[in-house]
Amino acid sequence: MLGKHQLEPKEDTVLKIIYNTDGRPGPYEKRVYLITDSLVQPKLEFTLKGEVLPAPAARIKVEPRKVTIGSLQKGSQKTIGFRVSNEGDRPLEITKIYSATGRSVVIRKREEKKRIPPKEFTELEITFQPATVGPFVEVFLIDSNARNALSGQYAVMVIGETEP
Amino acid sequence: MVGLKKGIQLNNDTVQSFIVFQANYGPHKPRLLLGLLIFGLLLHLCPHRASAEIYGQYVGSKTCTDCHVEISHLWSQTPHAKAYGSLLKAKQQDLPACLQCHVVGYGETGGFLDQELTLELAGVQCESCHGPGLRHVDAPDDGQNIIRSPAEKDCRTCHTAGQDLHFDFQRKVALVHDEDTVSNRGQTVKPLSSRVNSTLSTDKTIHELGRVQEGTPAIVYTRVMNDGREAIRVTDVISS
Repeated sequence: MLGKHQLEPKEDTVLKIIYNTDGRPGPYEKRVYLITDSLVQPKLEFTLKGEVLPAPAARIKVEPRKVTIGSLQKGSQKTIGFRVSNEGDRPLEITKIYSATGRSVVIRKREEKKRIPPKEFTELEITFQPATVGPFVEVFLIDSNARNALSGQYAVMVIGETEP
Repeated sequence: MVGLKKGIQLNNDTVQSFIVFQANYGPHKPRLLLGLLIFGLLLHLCPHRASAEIYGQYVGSKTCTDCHVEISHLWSQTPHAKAYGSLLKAKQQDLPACLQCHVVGYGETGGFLDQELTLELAGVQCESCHGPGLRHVDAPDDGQNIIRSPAEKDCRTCHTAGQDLHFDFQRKVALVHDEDTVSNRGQTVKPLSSRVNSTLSTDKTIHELGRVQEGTPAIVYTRVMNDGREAIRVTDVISS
């Protein structure tokens, strides 16, 4: 409350509430509570409503998101191609591709580091070798600056089975 | 392992059970024998992992339902089960800070990725409180493999003071999957607005801030007055 934490009887002050909108696009409804030492009124509640317009950003789209590859022989490698599009209005920068589970060895990631201008696309290839025998669900994570990549990572899923 | 026919195998324990069964009931009950075999097969199949999209330590509530049918049904009627829907309604499904408390295992290997890949882990499910279920599925009799009774601190990771100021663990824990309490929800949960005789007042409690560009802070100035006869101290400020 602008540095003031105690109000004398009949005293008033101005409360300043700041909602940090960075990384929070979309509509919001936030509540702020002033907790007091009053027995009859332990708190005072405020509601803030509004909408945060998204800042210009890259948006990644990968096709296909989920690939079923069938059976693989143990020790063999598989290459899968993906089409990566930038649907945003800022350049998309891909910085890293890796296995989320660590159960597959990523052998080769052609042109891993890529810069894709807005509204354009590129082809990406991942060659990998499953490390375990039996059915597997492998998730590959693509690190980028895309706004829609949650926590900076965008996932693609590969489903298959490794035969002994 | 003992081979019976092509493509069918039973382990030694199963075969021993079969022999005991024959000794007790004689040779004239092929239907009972068939029933036993089907029962054994069902036991073998339950529990199992529900779908191919489950890729790590988390198995999803559908898997839990295979064995915990009743309690899963009760849970499915609670706000926890619909927690992802509330994010969609608020268009907050792409915000990591929100997802952490509205899906299973967000940010962990095998946890929720996004609704296109891992919709089966959306919502506050069994594993949100009881921990990853894969080891429990593989060895359900081992009590070490699952958190049987989640503690208050586990709930508090999401039911923070800012998000849930009136969170009462003892009262709320009974609502998670208890039939009587679920059906009487309206009578057991106290309404949030239970303030009485306020002495601190303000000129405005609801502030419509319109649209702001992301990155620009939304700021509210509001007057707060002490209407009482004693000084009031603000001890804390909490936000949702």
